[in-house]
Amino acid sequence: MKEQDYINIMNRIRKDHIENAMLWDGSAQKDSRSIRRLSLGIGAIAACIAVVIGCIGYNVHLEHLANPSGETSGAENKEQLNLFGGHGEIKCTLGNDSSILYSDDEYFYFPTNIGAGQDNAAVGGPSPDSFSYLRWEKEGGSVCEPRTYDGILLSDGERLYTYHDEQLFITDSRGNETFCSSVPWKPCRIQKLGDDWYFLSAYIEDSWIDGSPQPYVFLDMPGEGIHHPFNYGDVRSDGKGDTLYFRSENQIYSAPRKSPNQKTLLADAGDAPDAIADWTVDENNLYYIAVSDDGFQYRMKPLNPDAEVKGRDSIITNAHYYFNMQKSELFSVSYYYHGYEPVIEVCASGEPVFPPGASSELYPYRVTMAELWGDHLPDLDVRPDMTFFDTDEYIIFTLPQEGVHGEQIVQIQKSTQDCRCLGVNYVPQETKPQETESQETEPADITNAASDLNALGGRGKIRSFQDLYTNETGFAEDDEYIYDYYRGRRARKTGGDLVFEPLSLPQIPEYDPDSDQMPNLFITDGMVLLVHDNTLFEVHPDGTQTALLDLIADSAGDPLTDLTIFQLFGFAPDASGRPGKLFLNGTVQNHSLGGAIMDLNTGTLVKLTTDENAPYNFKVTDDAVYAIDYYFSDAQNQYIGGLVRYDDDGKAVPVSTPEWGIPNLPEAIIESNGTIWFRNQHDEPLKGNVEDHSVTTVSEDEFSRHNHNIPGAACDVWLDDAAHQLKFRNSEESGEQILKEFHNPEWEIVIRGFYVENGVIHIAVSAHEYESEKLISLTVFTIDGSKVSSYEITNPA
Amino acid sequence: MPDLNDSQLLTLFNQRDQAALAATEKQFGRFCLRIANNILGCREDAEECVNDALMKLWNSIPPEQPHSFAAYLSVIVRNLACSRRTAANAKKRGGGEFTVALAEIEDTLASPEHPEAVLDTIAIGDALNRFLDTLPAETSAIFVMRYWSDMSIKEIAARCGKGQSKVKMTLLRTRNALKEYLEQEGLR
Repeated sequence: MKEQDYINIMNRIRKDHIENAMLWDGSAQKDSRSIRRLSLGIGAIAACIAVVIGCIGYNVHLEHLANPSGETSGAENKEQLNLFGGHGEIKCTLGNDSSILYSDDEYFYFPTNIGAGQDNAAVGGPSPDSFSYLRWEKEGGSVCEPRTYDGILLSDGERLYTYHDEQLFITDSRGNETFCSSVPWKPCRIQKLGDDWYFLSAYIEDSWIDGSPQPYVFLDMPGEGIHHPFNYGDVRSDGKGDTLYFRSENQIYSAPRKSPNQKTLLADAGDAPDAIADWTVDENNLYYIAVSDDGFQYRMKPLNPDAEVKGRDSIITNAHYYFNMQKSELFSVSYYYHGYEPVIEVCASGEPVFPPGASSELYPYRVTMAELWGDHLPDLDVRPDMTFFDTDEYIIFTLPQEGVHGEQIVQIQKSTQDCRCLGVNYVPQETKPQETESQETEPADITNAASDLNALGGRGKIRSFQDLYTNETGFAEDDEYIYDYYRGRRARKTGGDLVFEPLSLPQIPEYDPDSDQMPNLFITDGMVLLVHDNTLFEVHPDGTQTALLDLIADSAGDPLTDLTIFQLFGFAPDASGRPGKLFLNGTVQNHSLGGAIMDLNTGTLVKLTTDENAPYNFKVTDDAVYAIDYYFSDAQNQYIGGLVRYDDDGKAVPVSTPEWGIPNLPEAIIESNGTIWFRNQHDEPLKGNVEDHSVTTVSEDEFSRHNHNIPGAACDVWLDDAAHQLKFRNSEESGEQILKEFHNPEWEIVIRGFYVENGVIHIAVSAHEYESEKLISLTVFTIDGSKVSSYEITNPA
Repeated sequence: MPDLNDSQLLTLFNQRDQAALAATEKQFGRFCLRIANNILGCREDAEECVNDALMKLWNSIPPEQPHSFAAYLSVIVRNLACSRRTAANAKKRGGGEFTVALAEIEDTLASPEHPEAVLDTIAIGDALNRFLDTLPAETSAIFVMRYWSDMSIKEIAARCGKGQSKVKMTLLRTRNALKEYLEQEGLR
């Protein structure tokens, strides 16, 4: 394959995909990725399955085109089917964000991969030739079915339109088309502005990159056809058909219909990004929601008959939550904190939304967010991505984030106020899982004297597994349990089945298998540390705690408040062998430390200087702390660096030279003798000397012997990804040994860490399911010379 | 100078304030350098490429008003780096993460009967977009990071907070799924 072919293919990746990747932040996204998916429409979920499902709509459509008269053939029932392959007339309901909900006698059809389309930045690339949609039964059932409509079907909320052969047609439910207009671009949205006045949007190839004109146009029907190319996609009318209203960034303008470029400024919400959350207009007033750090401000501006500002802005209300703004609709959805409990609430009061909350008698749908989302609450400080529809019979809205049971859509029947949740994978929760019982009975199992127990409630010495490359720890074991203490849980080593239970320390949050929250618990070799109340404590076996460091003030008398430790990278032992220094990452008074060394004996905290991006990789050896992938600028403003060592003041001193050619994020081993093993930018294996700054090319064999080397032990351990095997090699013996073969390629295998005790090596390895991240097994290998033993606990199916 | 948000940066560019370039370089310079370096495999070339990209950015805003600086700039950098690479390596493949990424995916994109040939880069590119639409956001991001940005596995793992093994397996499964998809579409 030619490089240029590869480049050409990748160059066609759309902007939205690139933005998604370039702005991706794994740590930040863990909780918010579901929101993101929904913000792009539920299509990500729907389309995933849709590709294998028949393109019913278009097939019916094509069939009809082949037989436009609708005469019956052998398949007498087919003319009964509408464009979606269902029965009855297709009805269209316009949503709050210009989305369309289709329905027929039996089903709702909700397009998911065509958003509001007000801004081509939201989609990128050309208008699609098909769309995914979710289909669900109007009555009964809880599962949405992802499907694909293969063709261009549009609606302005009233009529159906189809597009092909560069022509736009008005169509009926069964595909009987009437020519409407010639349109050179594939449209993706049509918006009715007046009885004979429409706004048509399309996306064209790469318009977002090369600055080509946006093909936003106005369409007069019947008559003049397309005219007035326009630069703005977010437009409204007041229903009279003479005035156009549109938004440009944070400004809202009006303009005469016939001269849309003669604009008049109506409102300016300032320079902050996305300062207007929503807006609408009627013949007398402009309403908009201004966003600030303090929340949402609902504003109203009176207009005169010429669509000019008649008077001063009036602030209707300030709110810390977003309140759907649909003046003419008969419902609103609020999304806010009720006391301390966040709730989502629907008010179908029949009253206008403004002023918000004016009528609050009826709440057919009210659910706490904790019920819906557990600990994965959406961010209430931003406008939630929710689409609302008000059909004759139902209120339907999408949730801003998929619920813990798969809830994506809520449907409320107005007459009965019956409420249904729906989702592609939604499973209504009728009964509680049985885990609760077993969790409650577990504490009774600990019946022996407390003196037998260690600080984590188990028995025997606590030993932590250290990551081979990063010095991090997250798993530990004692004689009785293996601890996944980043998640505040533990499992018994014996018994075969992997059953986690919560750690019983009172400062550890309740066990939540879905939570990524890391308690401030850190385990060293035999020592348990806990951060709470601005103090670093050592936890003793009897449950008592000794303050090691009062974090309120350091030894220099400077205030050192609000220390939050994100991560402990490593420890430096003092003369007694106990941890004397902690190498950590965290914040002080909400300012990131990047990396810092805390001396437990003196209480001093030395911040390590880092470059503007903070290096990913810190290495802690017995006598020094290094940062790899460190970049800074010299006097000529050239990037130099790569590996630095920190002095006592936390200043970074370059160790590597440009000749080392350290690449981005190298995987490197630093040995206690000051040798670093790494691959350079050209993937060549090298060893560098941190003392004399020399660098030497080494053989692959020599490199491999060191790069997987377990510090303090003459052996290597690594994952052979291709063979899906965990391998081990004793440096003093020839040949490698397969410790374990993982037969299921769907699993992710992770070496959790190691520790060496009395010359015996202990290695923890876990297997997970990729999609669900469900832990399948935990295996701990014990290697004593040539003797290998292991224990494994597995998750029951 | 504290980091500026996209809107503030845009204002500086629109005012033709050269502080915009310094701020952009400070905030995105290293990010762009990585993209360029991954494609070019040469620090010096990558730095030149980033400088060129900043100049192009300066010349394009206004009238352009990018929605996201990171994405917009990364497109410019990648395009420049690819052009530079094409010119420099017209006869021979160079090094860097680009080559590794290409080696990984060429079996997926190329015709099995004619591995040197790709049926239709435009059609495959468009099919790739449709395929990415079907993926979970994170999987799509990982794929784009690897094959569009040519990031290393290690970089992606660090960015996504995942293990390298998981990233590799995600990519493997995604490539396999893409291969099937392209076959269904008659594109390989």
